[in-house]
Amino acid sequence: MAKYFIKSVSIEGFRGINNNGNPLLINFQTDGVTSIFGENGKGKSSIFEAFLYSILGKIIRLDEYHADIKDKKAIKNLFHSSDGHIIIEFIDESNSVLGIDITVNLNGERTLTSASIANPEVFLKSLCNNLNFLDYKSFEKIMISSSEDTGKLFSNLVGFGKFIIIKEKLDKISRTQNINNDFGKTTKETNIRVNNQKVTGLKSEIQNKLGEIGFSQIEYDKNVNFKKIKNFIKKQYGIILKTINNESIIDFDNLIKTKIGPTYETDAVKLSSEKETLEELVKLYKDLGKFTNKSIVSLSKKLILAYKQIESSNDIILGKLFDSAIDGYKSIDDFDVNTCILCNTENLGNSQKSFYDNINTKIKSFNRFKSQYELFISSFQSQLKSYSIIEFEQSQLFESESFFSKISKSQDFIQSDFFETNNIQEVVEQYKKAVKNKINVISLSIKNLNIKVPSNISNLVETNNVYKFVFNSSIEIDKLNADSDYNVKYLYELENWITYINKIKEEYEDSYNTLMDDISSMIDSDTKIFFKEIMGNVDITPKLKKENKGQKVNILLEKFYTNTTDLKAAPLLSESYRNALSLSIYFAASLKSKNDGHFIIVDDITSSFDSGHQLYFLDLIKRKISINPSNKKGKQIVFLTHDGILKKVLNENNSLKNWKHYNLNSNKDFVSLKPFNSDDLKQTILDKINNGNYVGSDFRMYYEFVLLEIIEKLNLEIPFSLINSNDNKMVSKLSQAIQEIIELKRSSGKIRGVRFPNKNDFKIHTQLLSNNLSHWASGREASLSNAVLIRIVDDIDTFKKLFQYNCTCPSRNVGWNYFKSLSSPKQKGCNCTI
Amino acid sequence: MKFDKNRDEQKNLDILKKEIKKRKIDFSKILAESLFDNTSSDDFRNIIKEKITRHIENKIIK
Repeated sequence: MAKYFIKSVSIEGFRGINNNGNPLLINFQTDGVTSIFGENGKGKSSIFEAFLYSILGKIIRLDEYHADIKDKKAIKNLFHSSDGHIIIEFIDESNSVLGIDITVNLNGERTLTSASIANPEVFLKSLCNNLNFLDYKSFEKIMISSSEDTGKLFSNLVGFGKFIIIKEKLDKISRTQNINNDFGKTTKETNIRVNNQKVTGLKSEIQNKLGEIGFSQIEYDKNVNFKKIKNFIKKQYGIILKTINNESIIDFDNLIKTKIGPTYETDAVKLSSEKETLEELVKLYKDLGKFTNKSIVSLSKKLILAYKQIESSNDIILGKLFDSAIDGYKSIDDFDVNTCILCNTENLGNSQKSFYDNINTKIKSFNRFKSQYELFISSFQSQLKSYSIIEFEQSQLFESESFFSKISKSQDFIQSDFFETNNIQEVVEQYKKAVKNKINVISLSIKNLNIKVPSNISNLVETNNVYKFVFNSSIEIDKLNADSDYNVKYLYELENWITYINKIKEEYEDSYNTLMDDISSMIDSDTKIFFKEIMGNVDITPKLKKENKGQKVNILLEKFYTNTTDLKAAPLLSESYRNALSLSIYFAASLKSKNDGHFIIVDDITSSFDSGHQLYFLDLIKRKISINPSNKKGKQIVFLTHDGILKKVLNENNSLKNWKHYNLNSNKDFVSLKPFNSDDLKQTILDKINNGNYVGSDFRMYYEFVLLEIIEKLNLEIPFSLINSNDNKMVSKLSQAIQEIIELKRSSGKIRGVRFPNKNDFKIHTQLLSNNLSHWASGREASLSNAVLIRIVDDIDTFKKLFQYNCTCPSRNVGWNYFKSLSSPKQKGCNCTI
Repeated sequence: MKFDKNRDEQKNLDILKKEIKKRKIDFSKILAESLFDNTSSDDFRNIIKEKITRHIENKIIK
């Protein structure tokens, strides 16, 4: 498995970086940390996004915007005259460099090209995922995610992204609900059951129908019965059947229409209906006969008595009115109990009782009567039912309002003479008469219809209907059985599939769980160490606990001051502690990643820490997270920050062997780096000269860089006083310090094998450079030609080379290397002759 | 199945693939040829749905 590091990136026309014709170029520390400081709006996040966009094809934070505010046109720099360009160079362990050129057009679409990679898109996809990038928003989620998502994150961080996808895939296809939806398992099972019920029902109906035409003893068998039915029909209706083809279905409908007449069918239906009506009427007429004179007299008496009870309560009407009126007023607080609520007459009460109380007493007595009356009416109604009066109603033979409904409707305010003026016996007799008349009419109608629908034809039609029913039902049964057979076979095969896929899934999950247990345990161990280093608090110890089954991982605290039982971490920790734990988990897991992309790019992840914890965190990155000779399992770290507290420390870190630091400078059109090593600075100066840009004090800075590098690389002892010295005349002070230490070593005989510059060399170079310095100190370099300006750089380089040798050893870095020291010039492992 | 504890994902995926193929039934082939494709789980589900349905239908017809 290859390990790829980011060697360099060049950005132009992307997001906040315009740099038209002069791309921002960043060379990274591949074996350590590259930190980039940029105040807000200086282009720092644009660098982060350039990597996201180039490698993942998307800018996650822009993707998360609501659709209403998304705009891909914001990806390319708005002020850049042509397409944006990002060039990333990756370098592997064998120093092979792979470059990818990413073009971004006006619509935010990206195109990848590469001279060294056949399919750059595939290369980038396999290189890493979004977990190689970390910003505040992403790591914040670590602590507040579900335990399932934490488990997924672990798998992704350690490079088991494909494993998770496999798991998700197996889950999806084995889930019962999905199997039901995809293969209609439940539907098919239901269909089989319903089909069987239908078949049983149809068979039973067939037997019943056959029974109607004389085949009751015959077991259902479609072939046998068809034949028998046909023969049966043939015998009885030979004349008509002459026209029937024995081999085909008998089209009786057509036969009846052509041979018997077009209205036969309507008449047959009407005849059947009339016969049913006649049956009802005859029964009704018989029931009315039970309504004897004696029972009617008794009933009338009861009704008259009931009404008299109503009359005896004189204030029934008034009571009802007050009943509803007081109900309405009861809820009003300022109801005057002495004022009539109907006419508003005041002072109606007496000394003992208010008007309201009087009325209320009356209403109560009315209510008592009302309930007794309703009870009576209810009992009266049930009595009427016993005389079949109800069936009168249900028959719906009479259009006029019936006796019973008259009573029902008038039960509240029946007129006193109702029962005396309406003779119940007369009403019943009217009914009987009407029913009799109706029976006569219908009987006559049936007689006429019988002529139109002769019984022999009716039997023929009925037999035919049975035949058709049996035939169609047989076809339906065949279809249902075939459908069930298919479904049974389908479900059998499907069950095999379900058993198989569940077995695979179970075995996969068991093995996956075992693996994840080990990984969680490793991540847990590193998390504890990292967290302790960042926060320095021995009273709080985190714990990552994977659940026995599934991929859930819980983030807990195994120690929280005096508490030593496991507690959920997120609710207990302050924001900075939560963030420290998130970062610890992220880096612990990320360092276990097996991705080819051996780098982590982080953007503003320390903001919630105070200065002390920020420094602890930086120290942790330096020692245990970034790759370096004593931490070979570390990763290349690109650390972007806007935090002013860190700026000074990062500037100082630039002098560390495995640390490269840049500060960002920018205006609307141009983002540039303030470099911290002489090669980078030289390149910046040359770029400026070639582009006709103002170089300013960069010459002085370059010369200072070179002098400082000489001191650092050759481990020259410089006077302690120089550390606290101000920047004034620093070039001169450094030059003098170098000269003095060389002279000192030379005089003590410690310089061997190399002719390091003597006093004269220093004098010549100083004069040469001073001559030019007089121009750049007065700001007149703009009047000099490019050739002159470049010569100043060359002069500095010539001086630099006095402390270097050209190494030709193939196993080392071929080219100009600094001497190791004044006394031992050759670098370790170098075989060159100096 | 036993996964490689050295956390080489590709190696482990190969172990899984081998285990699936080891079961010599028709379903193994269908699963193995789709499970490792670079598709989303939803797309995979649709592919399996289609392939298994077709497989079962063909088997019933035979």
